[in-house]
Amino acid sequence: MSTVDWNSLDAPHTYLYTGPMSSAGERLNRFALSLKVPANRAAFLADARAYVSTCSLTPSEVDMITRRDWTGLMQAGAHLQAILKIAATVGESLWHIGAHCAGMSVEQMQSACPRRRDGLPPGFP
Amino acid sequence: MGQIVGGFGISHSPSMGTEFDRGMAGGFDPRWQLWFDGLQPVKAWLAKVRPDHIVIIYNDHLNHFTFDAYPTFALGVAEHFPQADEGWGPRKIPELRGDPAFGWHMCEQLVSQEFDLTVCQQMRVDHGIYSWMPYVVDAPWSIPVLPLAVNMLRFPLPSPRRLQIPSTSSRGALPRGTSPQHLRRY
Repeated sequence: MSTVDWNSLDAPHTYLYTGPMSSAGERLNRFALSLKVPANRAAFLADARAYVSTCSLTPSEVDMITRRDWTGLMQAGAHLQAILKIAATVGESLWHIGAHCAGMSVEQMQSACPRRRDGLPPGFP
Repeated sequence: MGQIVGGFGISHSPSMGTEFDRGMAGGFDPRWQLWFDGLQPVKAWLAKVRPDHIVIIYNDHLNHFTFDAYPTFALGVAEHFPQADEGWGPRKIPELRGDPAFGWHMCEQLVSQEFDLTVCQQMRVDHGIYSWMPYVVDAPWSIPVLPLAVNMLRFPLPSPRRLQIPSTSSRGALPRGTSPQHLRRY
């Protein structure tokens, strides 16, 4: 397991999604969001390389998509919520993206997030 | 005359929806039982006050909007707000209902107070609303909703102060309203 600074708000721990990132990731986001359509998901799953070849992506972007390099995609300007459409299509979730960013397995990520809850204030509401 | 009967803040997540659907089949995962139990007071309160409308300030997650045209504020004015397909396929739950007459009324009030917004006559809604709604109101949903989507995805974000205007406006909107007699409660 890599060392993660859970308190850091700087990259690679946290990315603020800005306008320039949105411009850089324009084609990646358009590709990812095309996967909201079931027929496009089916086409992507049937032949990912053929599908992405129609999306005006660079070889490096295609490579990151096929390797499920979620962190790389984020750094290239894809938005987390767009990347999530790719992950959903290949049967993954936010856990997989988060674990990839933190450099750990999904199981390690889940065990690091115990989801504690202290309870509601007395007498609520 | 209209009246604001209350408000609540609530978190949202895609897994919340998945868990609800699974829970309906046969008991909640213990991790989620706490969440489910904790919402029962909210559900009971909503059943007690019986609002005529629910105004929902939420955010879309690139499920209706894309960055080709991405509004800072967007008001949904439609009879129905279909569920967005977020990549996993739609869940088997009913559609949220809207009330266009109320939506246009609120739109007029907001814009007249210089709260300029995008109006969507078609708006698919994602887990920003659908994930928690079944926990606090039983389906099928008879209470119409008025969704106000706020940009929470890409900087610059609107400041929290900006949202004081619609909340103030919704207070001001009701007594001044020319319109619908059914606006008893919000």
